[in-house]
Amino acid sequence: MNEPLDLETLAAEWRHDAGPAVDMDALRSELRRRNRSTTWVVAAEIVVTALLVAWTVGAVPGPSRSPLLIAWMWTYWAVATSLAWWNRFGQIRRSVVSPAAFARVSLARARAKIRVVRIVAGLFAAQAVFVLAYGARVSGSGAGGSAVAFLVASGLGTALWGWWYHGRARHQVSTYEAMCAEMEEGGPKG
Amino acid sequence: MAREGLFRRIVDEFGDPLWRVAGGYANDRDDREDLYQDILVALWQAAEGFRGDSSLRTFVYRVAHNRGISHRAYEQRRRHEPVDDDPVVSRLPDPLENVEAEATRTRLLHAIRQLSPTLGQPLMLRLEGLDNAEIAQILGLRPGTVAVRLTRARNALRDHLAEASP
Repeated sequence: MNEPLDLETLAAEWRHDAGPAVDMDALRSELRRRNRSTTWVVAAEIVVTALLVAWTVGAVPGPSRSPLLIAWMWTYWAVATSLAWWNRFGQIRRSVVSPAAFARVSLARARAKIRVVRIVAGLFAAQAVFVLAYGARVSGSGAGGSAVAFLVASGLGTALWGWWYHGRARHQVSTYEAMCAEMEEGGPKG
Repeated sequence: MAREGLFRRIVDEFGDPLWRVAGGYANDRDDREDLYQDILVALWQAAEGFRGDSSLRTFVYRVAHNRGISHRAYEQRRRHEPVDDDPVVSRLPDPLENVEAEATRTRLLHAIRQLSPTLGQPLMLRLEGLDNAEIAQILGLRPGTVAVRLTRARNALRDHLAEASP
């Protein structure tokens, strides 16, 4: 039962498993598709940001326009967009480190994702304070109603996104924590 | 284009080993094909930054195993018991090959999938014919640590193969 395993025999069996021929044209198409998809997502983020800011500025009557409200809108979307970019492009840079280092960086990034949800929730709460204050100040007008409707809609969207993103990040944290603990056993080199 | 030339070289030299790395992290055949494509895309993207600071082999295996780790972290929630739908088939048919040999290879693949990355990585690299020093270089470990992990991996593999034996 406990006889030693003959790795040389297993290696010969293992190396029998030959991969499919790589279709370079299909791979190029896949790369183009992924690049297009990234471009569309980024373009959509820019358009949505521009529309929201334009809509907000337009909805607030001239004399009541609060620079702080607009500043909060910009900050909220700028932070969310830049964090998304940071997340996307960090993937490529870290791909060539050793697997132990990769797992450590991945754990740090997964923990950062949880912080991102908290930051976005904090920004949203601050934004809500300003929007509700503004809504109370101009209550009865269309602008106040629109601002509160926007707040409710964006709050629902943010909550859904936060629930999904946070759950995924928590799962990654627990997976990478277990992986790192196991990989640190015996100690990494250097 | 330098990047395309390097990538073609990677595919020519490491296409089959990369397919086997994908097999070690995937759940089934479809998952393996997806991961294989992801590894190739990751290598294409990373190839632009390859400056020869490490050997091409180190570079390729690091990118592939890191992609495998990510795949496990993302897919683990959907992970299920390995199913027997990823039979190991040689590209060149060998008249001497029989059903029993294929079944053995498939059992080996499924046993490797059950190992944690810590044990699976050095074992897969050893099965590719790399020595402890090369494995240590790729995994960023001391050669002594690699030897310890290989012993543990070998024991775990023996147990998994024994469980899977008909």
